[in-house]
Amino acid sequence: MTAYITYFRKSFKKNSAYRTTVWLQIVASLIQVGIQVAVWTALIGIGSVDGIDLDQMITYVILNAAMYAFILTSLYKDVDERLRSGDIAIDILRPARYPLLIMADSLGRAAYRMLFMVVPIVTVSSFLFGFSVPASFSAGTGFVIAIVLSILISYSIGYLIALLSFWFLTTFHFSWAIGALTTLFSGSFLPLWFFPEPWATVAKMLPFQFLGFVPAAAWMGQLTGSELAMTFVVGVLWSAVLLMSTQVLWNRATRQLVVQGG
Amino acid sequence: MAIVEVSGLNKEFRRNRRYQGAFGAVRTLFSREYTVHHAVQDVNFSIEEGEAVGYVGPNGAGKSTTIKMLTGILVPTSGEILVDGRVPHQHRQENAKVLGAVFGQRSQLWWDLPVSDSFELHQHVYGISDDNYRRTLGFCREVLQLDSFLQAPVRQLSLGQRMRAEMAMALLHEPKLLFLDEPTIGLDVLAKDRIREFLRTINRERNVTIILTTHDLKDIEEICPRLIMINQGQVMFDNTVAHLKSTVGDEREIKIEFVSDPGSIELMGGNLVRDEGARKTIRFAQDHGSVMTFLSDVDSRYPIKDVSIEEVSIEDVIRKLYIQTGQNAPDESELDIWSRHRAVTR
Repeated sequence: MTAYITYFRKSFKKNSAYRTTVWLQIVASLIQVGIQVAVWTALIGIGSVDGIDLDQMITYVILNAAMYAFILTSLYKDVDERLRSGDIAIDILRPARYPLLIMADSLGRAAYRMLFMVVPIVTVSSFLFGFSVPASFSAGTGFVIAIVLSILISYSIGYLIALLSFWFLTTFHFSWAIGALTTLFSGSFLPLWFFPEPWATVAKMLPFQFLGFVPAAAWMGQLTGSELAMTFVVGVLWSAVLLMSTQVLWNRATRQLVVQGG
Repeated sequence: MAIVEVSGLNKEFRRNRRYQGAFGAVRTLFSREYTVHHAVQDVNFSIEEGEAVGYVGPNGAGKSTTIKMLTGILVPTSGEILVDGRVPHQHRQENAKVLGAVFGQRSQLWWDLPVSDSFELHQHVYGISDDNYRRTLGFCREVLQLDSFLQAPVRQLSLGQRMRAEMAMALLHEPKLLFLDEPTIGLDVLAKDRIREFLRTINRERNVTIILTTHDLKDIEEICPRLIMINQGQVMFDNTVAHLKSTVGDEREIKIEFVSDPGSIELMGGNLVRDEGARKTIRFAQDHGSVMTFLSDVDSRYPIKDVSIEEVSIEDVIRKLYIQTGQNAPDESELDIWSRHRAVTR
């Protein structure tokens, strides 16, 4: 266990080597939040659409920008690069569970982003555009549970993409497809409550909603009671299915492994 | 007791067949045809604890494939491997604890962090007790002179410093068996010497078994008494370096500078390899008699001004062996190995 905790700490420290990235990311996120706020101001204006007013929409936009820290999908890039260079041999040679090492590595990065990107982004945005605190204590609790699910789901999606590259030796197609699906079905751009049927139902069956919509909607008290509970059931089922698939694929991948380059 | 036991080891790779032409890509996608490439074929050897063995062969000969199977990251197609009594791919994690590995062309250190951070990480991943960690690190710091750059980020180190750090890291968990894959590649002469000296020390004083693959045969001459040569996936030679030299040719290369150009001369048992007038290079096999007798004989007829006698280098010997066993020089074999081992199956 100490191995993974140390890995987490070192990953956190490693990320602090790239300070320019932090500044650029903060600026980029703020611009993105600004644009989305302007769009929603034009669309909603005064009053509300489907029971959502502008203030709530701004909170939604800021929360989705903050999700940047908790979505681990991009971990496939690390694995892909190590596979391409053949350095994966070194990772697998360690007496530790590689899937957990990647998890620890990603969480270290997530913690770093949380502290040095999300906190400034949320602070500045709320100062500029206004931001609502969780609707209630249970809404706050719901948000935390939703974040845990989004970490698990985004981790397993990213890891699945990485594992497929053991067979296809490239992640390009999968990451592109998953990226497109995430943009659409996570609701980070257009909240699911504006989706027409049957797309709203489809989106609520998919795991991508946890990468944007669910945590924000829980925070805002838009998802409550049995509806929220049902959503969590869907999330837990998806986490279980995805994590089990990664386990199966990982076992097969280690048999398949062809370490490239001498 | 043998620490590595390999018998009847085979590894095949399948490569999907690719098609040329406009619809080639589509055909490639649906095709089930593949070619089989035999990377390692019926390899047998056994290595005792405390030995230092050079594992050489031309590019593409199957060296790295063997090493990967020994570490457990590749599964053999058939045959048996036991490392410290375990089947490596079935006990990868336990196996990893008794192994250390250094890859000259890869790094195990964390690029953006100080060397000491990578060491600390290594301590926890390998579960090394604080006492052992301090002791081994102390030893490595002293012998490898790490102190001046222990706190520097890895990306700022010179290649020589980095390799010293890699060596230390591979030894922190006190492995019984150390794999080294071209550990001196790209290093300057002094850095090479330092690494070789260190490897000799840990082999002799700490009884660490060493398996070394390299293209720099000087590494082998200085570190490994025993040599295993592999070519086209098969073991071609497995004996002592001294034995290798004596079987392939107990020759001396003699450069003679004559007082004046003797013209074409009669050589008793010698072979003229280069003729530059007054300066001639002669190969002399020692089973024809002693070099000194040969020289005084020549001198009595053609006065000699200066002479140098050299042992045939291990490089020459190996080159001879590569050519004998592969009918091609090391540089070409990589291309050639593909055409030789091709068999289309359906």
